[in-house]
Amino acid sequence: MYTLIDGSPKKQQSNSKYFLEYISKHLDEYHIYNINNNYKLILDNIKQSDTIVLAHPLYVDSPNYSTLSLLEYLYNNKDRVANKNFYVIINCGFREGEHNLTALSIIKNWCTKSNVNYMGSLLIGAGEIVGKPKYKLICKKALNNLKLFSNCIKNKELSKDIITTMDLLNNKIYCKLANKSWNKKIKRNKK
Amino acid sequence: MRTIIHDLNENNLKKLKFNKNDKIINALECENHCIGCFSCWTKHPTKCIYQDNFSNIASYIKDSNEFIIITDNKFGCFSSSVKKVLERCIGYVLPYFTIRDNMIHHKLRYNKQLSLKVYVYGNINKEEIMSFNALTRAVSINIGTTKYKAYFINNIKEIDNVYIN
Ligand SMILES: Cc1cc2nc3c(=O)[nH]c(=O)nc-3n(C[C@H](O)[C@H](O)[C@H](O)COP(=O)(O)O)c2cc1C
Repeated sequence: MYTLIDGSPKKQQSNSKYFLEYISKHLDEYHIYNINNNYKLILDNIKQSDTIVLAHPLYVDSPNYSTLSLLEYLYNNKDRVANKNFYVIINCGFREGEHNLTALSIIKNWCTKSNVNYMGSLLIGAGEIVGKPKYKLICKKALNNLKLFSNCIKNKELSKDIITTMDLLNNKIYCKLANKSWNKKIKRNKK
Repeated sequence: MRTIIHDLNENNLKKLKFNKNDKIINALECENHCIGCFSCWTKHPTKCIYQDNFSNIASYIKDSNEFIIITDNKFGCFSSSVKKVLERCIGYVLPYFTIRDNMIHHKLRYNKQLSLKVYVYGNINKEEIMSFNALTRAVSINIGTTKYKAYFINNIKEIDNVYIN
């Protein structure tokens, strides 16, 4: 059994949730929790499963507050998470998936201290694009990596740390387009 | 002026010397956490959607020359309490993207060189120190400063010796 945890605090559909839903299609027995669920409920489910998949956004170069506080809670109950398999998906706003590496090192420290079996990671840049079905066509590489990662999870195999992002564009053009879209949002809010 | 965000209890806080115009923010008192709505960028710049004592810390940081974070070590990261406050400060930078140090970062709202000091207390291992140094560096690039340092204090009782007044 799998425990899937969406670490995003967003009220609307998160990118993290999108990635977990994709993975869940490959699994038979699983539960998806949102980070706003009661932590004890999540822990109770973890006790019954053998594999945890955590997806969370990058906030200030580290796991977001709610994810961190869940990790602190699980660490305080570490005899009950010990020896579980653990996969993580971290997505960030900037285009380069490498921004997620600091957060990954924090996650790995948590795994070591909690005696959890670290099984691999998927680090996604341009998460707000890769995490939306409408941009599927310009995210082929990233979605293919998501598929590879799903297969590892399904077979409970070790995965490499995969760093990925959207296709096309270079950083300069990405900045230009992103800035246009920020201006649009700001204008819309003025009305 | 200095902005100081901490997660110390009353006893340990008493040991520290502060200047008269320091802005001291007790992270343990912060109730609301960021929900990723980006209002602090797109609706009412710098201000958080939640109206409480933590709504506009970005403006204190703007008026400071030093930004000090005092935090318990959690796996090589800030404690979740401190993290909760930091996430509500992103209005300090602009939403717009630019390329800095060869990677994408936010454009800066204020043109200033803040000094960023992170004081980490609690037991810590080698890997966690490495994570903290990387994290401090990453935050400094994101807020556009080249003056930054993380200090590690093993025993919280020694915080008054290490802490630079
Ligand atoms: C408070 C806050 C801090 C953020 N910090 C970073 C950051 O340091 N680097 C980055 O690339 N993106 C950052 N982001 C952007 C998010 O990682 C990005 O929007 C992500 O796709 C959200 O994923 P989700 O939908 O799963 O919550 C931040 C967003 C917020 C709200």
